[in-house]
Amino acid sequence: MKISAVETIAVGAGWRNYVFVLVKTDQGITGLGEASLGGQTHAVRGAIEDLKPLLIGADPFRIEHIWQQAYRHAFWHGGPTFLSALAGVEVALWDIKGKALGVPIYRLLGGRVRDKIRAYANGPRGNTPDEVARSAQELVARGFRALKWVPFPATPPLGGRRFIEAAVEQVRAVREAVGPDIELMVDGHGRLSPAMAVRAAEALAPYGLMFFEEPCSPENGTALPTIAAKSSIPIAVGERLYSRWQFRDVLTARAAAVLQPDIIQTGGLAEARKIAAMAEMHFASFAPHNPWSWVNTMASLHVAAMTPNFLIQEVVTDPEPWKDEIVTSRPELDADGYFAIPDKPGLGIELDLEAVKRFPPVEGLPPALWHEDGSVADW
Amino acid sequence: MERAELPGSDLNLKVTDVIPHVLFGGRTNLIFVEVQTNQGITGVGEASLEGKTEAVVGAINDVKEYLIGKDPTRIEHHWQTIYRHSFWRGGVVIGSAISGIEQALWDILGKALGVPVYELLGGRVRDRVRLYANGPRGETPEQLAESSARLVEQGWSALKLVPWGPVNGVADQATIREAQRTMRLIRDAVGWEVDVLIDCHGRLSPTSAVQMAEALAEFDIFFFEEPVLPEDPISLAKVAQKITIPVATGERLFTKWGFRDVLALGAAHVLQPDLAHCGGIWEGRKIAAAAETYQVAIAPHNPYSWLLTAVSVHLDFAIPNFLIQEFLVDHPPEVEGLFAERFTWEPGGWVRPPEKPGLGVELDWDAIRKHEQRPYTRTYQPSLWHVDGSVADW
Repeated sequence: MKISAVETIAVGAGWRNYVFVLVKTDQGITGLGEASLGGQTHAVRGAIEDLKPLLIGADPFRIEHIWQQAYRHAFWHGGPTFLSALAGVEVALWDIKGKALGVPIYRLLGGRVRDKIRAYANGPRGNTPDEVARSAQELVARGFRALKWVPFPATPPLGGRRFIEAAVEQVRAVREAVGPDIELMVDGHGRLSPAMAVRAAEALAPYGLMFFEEPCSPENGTALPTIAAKSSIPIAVGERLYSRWQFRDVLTARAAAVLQPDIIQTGGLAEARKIAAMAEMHFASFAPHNPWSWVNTMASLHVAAMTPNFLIQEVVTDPEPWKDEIVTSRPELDADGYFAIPDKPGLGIELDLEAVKRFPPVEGLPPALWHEDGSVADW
Repeated sequence: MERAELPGSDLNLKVTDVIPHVLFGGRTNLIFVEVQTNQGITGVGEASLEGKTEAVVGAINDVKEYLIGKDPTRIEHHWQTIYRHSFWRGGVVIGSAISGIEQALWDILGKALGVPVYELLGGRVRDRVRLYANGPRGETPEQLAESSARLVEQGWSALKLVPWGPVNGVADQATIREAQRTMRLIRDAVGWEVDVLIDCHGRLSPTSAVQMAEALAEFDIFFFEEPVLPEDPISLAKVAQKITIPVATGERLFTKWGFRDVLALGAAHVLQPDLAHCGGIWEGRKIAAAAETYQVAIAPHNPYSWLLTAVSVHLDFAIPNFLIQEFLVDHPPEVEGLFAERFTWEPGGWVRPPEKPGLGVELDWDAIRKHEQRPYTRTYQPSLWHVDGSVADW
């Protein structure tokens, strides 16, 4: 079998775009992958274009070999733009291999280690504690037993408890609204300085949080172990760590209880599986990041199905036409907040190539956050 | 509780039996694991372990009841069950048993899907795999040099030997000079194009390891294996920082957890998991992925039969940071007769990609059943002694 064509499709998804990759073969099997990276549509599509000479004519079964060539040849390793492009291709290659061999992808990487997959909503939404609490109740009514959101506004590098109070009010309101048995997680989204992250962890400790994600900027690797040592809330990190090499130092420093590689930004599902194995070496859990379309959700579910130290899977289920109408099928949450194990050969999801035309890609920069004085804050 | 089979298990495979086979193997007994299924597909694996035959066989039998009736393609899940439900995690006995079983499960999955095992590990990343000969044999430096020359004539381009017997905690000058004489004779016999690997076999202390490495550096040694015993990775790291010969270790480290601290300490340049002891092919894959983040290479340990050689070669074809594969050159003829086909390699020690489904190893089951009748070794060996009659590490 040979790769005969590689195509990309960009789909407008609100303020950002989804990017999909179709890898076609001379034997009629087509693989699907997702390479979405908010705000970098053209760059990612360009990176996929750069990979075409490597891909066309190659044996699609040699996935690791293609990954190694893509990553290591051409000298400049990694980065989120390139890895997102590579992941879209890599997942498409696994889709091809699974379809060719007639089995779901997880069967090609050690097999299924669980019967169902726990999920959490990247959800509640709202601007006030009341709005967020109502949104949380709606998600619980839809079956979610675990919720995560970013309760922090733009936060100055240093300041008193009052700067954390907005987050505390939201968390308190949500906890009161959903009761003690729903798991809640907060996402710092890299908005806090290490000092403010420690204050936030102290202030939020009474609310029984499952984890505190990205308490500080992921580039600040030396601060993370200090925050983790001071926080009674378990620390999670990983959506902006790219490839095993960056996760390595987090693990060696025992800086996080939960690793959150995104299948896309880390370079594909085999790479995420390798990161999970390293996490297993250090007794850390694995909870893949995924604010993307149903295609990356399916890729994530395959990894969850085959990974022993998997904890919980992020998913966005806001009813959005650009997400729900462009696929021919999608995984359903059960009443206990779990997804079923994928059961179709390959990835188990296809794009509706007519429906995608209804959502042309959008142009422009992603949402931004500003400090009170007009300077740039981390989103 | 065994859960109902879920969608996606459409291969309808069930394990029907798990049978350990103990076979006299000359240097050490061979332990083969046969996993039978309801569809006539049989998987095989190797769990040979010096001196602990009955324990490994017992460990395989301990998990037989669990495996029978299970879907053999849930490889990671069975690994997790056997390893973690044992509560008494790890060690070489359970490590070897689980490894032999795990290899057999990959063999079954490959055969069921009609592809070589390396296709199930991400696909092939190289066109050929290089073997080195665990080979030169002899009691004296002259014999070792002559044996080395013969192996090079046979086409080998890399040789590994243990060039000394027991060594004191601080090495005697005579011991050091004798090791230098051995290596000089070998270089004189094979020249400088051949890669020469030294296996210290854990016989040295942190002190004598540095003495020996400094004394032998002039002979351009490829790597210095197990310079100190595996229980002390901190000492290994100190040796690695001090000597100029690259350090290899790993045949006596088990599972990903056993390799973690060696990597974090920068204690080795080469890791040598044995796929018959470390937990199997997938465990080796995990160790290799972690090693890749430290730019550490993989050279699987394998002084056992052609079965484990084939197992190792599948991993070697699938991992980017593979370096070189160990191969035992001297098997008794009756061990070679257990295989329907000879294991073949090309001059230089090169192996081409296996093409048959699964591991691609065909055993001669009639020969195995016949050979099983032969008494196997039951002495507690191998062993090594200091001149004063105290125990030395073999």
